[in-house]
Amino acid sequence: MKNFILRLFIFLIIALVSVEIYIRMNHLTIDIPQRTINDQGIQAYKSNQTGYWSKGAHTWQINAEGWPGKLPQSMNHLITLIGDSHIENFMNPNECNLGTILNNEEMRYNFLEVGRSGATFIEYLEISKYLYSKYNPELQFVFVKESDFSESLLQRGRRQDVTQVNLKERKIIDGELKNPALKKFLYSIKTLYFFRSALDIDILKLPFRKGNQTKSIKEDKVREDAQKLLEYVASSYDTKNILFFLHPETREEIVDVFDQFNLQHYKFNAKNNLKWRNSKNDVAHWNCFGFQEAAKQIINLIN
Amino acid sequence: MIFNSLDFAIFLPIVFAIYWFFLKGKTKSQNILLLFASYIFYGWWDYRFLTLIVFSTLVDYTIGISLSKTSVQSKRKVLLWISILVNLGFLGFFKYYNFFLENFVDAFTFLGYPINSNSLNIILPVGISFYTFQTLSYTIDVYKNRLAPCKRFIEFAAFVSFFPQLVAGPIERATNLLPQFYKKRVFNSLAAREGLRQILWGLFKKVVIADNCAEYANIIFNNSAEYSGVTLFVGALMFTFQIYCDFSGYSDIAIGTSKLFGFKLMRNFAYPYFSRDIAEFWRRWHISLSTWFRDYLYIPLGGSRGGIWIKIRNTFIIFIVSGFWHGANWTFIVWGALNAIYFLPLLLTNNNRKNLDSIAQGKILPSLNEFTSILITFGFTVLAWVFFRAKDMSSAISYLTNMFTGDFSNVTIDIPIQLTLFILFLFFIEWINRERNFGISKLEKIIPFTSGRWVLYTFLVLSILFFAGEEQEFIYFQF
Repeated sequence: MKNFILRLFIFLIIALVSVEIYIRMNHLTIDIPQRTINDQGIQAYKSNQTGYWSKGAHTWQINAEGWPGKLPQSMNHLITLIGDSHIENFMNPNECNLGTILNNEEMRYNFLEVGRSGATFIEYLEISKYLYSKYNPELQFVFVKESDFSESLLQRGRRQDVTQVNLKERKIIDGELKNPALKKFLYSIKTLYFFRSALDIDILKLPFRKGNQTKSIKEDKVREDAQKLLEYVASSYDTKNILFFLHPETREEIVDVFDQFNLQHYKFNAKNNLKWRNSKNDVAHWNCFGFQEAAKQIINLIN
Repeated sequence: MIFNSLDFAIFLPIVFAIYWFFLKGKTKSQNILLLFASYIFYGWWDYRFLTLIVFSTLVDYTIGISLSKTSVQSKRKVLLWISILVNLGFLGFFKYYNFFLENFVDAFTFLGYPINSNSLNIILPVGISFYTFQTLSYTIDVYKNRLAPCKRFIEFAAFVSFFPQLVAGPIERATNLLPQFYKKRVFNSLAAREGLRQILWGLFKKVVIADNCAEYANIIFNNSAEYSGVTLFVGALMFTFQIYCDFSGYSDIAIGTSKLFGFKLMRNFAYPYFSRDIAEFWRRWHISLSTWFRDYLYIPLGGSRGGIWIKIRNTFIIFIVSGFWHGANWTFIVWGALNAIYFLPLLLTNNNRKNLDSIAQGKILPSLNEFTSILITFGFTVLAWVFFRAKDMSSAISYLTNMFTGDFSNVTIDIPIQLTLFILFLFFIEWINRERNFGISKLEKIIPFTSGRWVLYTFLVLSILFFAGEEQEFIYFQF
């Protein structure tokens, strides 16, 4: 028996090593960029990183400023594009990023993409404040989905790794890097991450969550949360140069809340939402077509 | 619970560890564990199915005991018939009720007497055809005094529900499997290694070949009108590989798993696609079912003794019943009848036992004559599988018609080169090892170096993990 178990154990180790090598050689998992928090509490990526998207389909880049995608040629006449993994857009090649498309199509402005997986609505506002002080952009575009509201609220449960707001005390609680060493270790073992994805096991709260998994808050609660949050935003932030771009599947009652607090907004018009989606069940992320269509509408709006 | 699932990958080591580390040498406790594990394994699909298997177990256990207590032939016969009626009654109700009802209604409508009826929404319990036949073999063997009745309920229940072969066989004879529950089991490292190899080979066949072939077979069979003749031929081939790798893969995993627990199950497949005639094919395909029908149906009917008409009748009965066992559909009946037609000329010319020896024994390649026979037999088998796979008779006939009359100039579906290579690899390995039990059995004889064997195992593991097709349920679960 001992001999059998020993041989089996040795074989399993050899098999695991082979699996790890195979996964790495074929880039079967997503390379995950490392994060950092700057002295103003803004959580971004460590600068100048690059890695592969799943199956080596394409690479992603983190620029010198710690944001995904390429930096614009200059920071003059700047418009920032702020969002979460939707704007970060690792799942598509760089030429499909909204910033890249807009920089190519609309030459009068420079567009800076500022996207980070898992960022919350309140974090978008904190980022916009930081960007305003750093680059003084002419306009800031914030890309919003319904699921962004509830996760911003501390009252809905603390999420250690993201920025939230405590509405009772009207206080911002910065996100912290959650177990960075453990994450680094787990992400460096590609086999673990591969099987986590293949078997849909949540080893850690990983940044590349499926769009529909965040939709745990009931729809009526979303409106309630949006109401509270936007009231706080309208009274606490300077939003005059911010334009909120609402996901095409945003319900009208949520749009009404933006109206109620005089927050400038534009809801994307997508006749066929499914065509925009990166995959059938992924409400949160778009494919190249989706970004191209969105860019057309943004350019029309600017004009 | 299915073998190619994470659930089973967790379940098996746990049961194995408890069985050998905590209950080593305690046969009774091991049997209780196996029974408990088997019920968990089966109840994983739907716990309600357990009532059926428990009831069937109780009935046959009681009848077995009762048979031992009486020597009055008439009473024994009644007991036997109770067992047959209960077991076949369940099978008939769950599997065939709607089929008979629909055909009954159709027949009356055809004769000008339309009748109304409501079919029932019956869920077919997984594996019912398998365990029903297994328990029937027990009662018949006890009735015929070939086997002493089991007096220990746990052992009997464990025999009926033994999880490795519960849902898709091999259909074990009580005379082979039941006594193994009485004996003390000692861990045998060589047998366990062989078991693991067989599991690995079975998983490769199921996950890499069957599931990938299924994808193309499903597309082509479900849209057969849109494809060229040669593509339909490719579709039939894909199903031919799928069904073999699916079912023999399952059997390999079942037999391999049993070896890990110290049990030896009967062989279920012996490289059927290398057969030189249909009779040989049926000695190599689903052996546990073919021999079941031979022993409990064909021989009691008189077998091949008697006149020519008796031979023809018995051949048709056994093949049609065998087809019908697979499912309540005319396609299975025609599939059985077609095989009877293939088989009859061999039987009537006394050539049905011509190819009993191993194929190309002691040679690397078959002779031209053998190769031609293998190809012809394979071709006939592929044609018969069209009936087996088609959803109804009109689809099967239209598929076959288009297959032979459609465009033969180009294949209008892309089969990935990897899949073709995997299929070639499978048949290459199986050809090399055709005189042993399964593809990579006793590999030491072919690859004497441990490192060489481990390279092959690693290749199989990588293939299973990275070239798996979309998960498909084992075809034979539906039977």
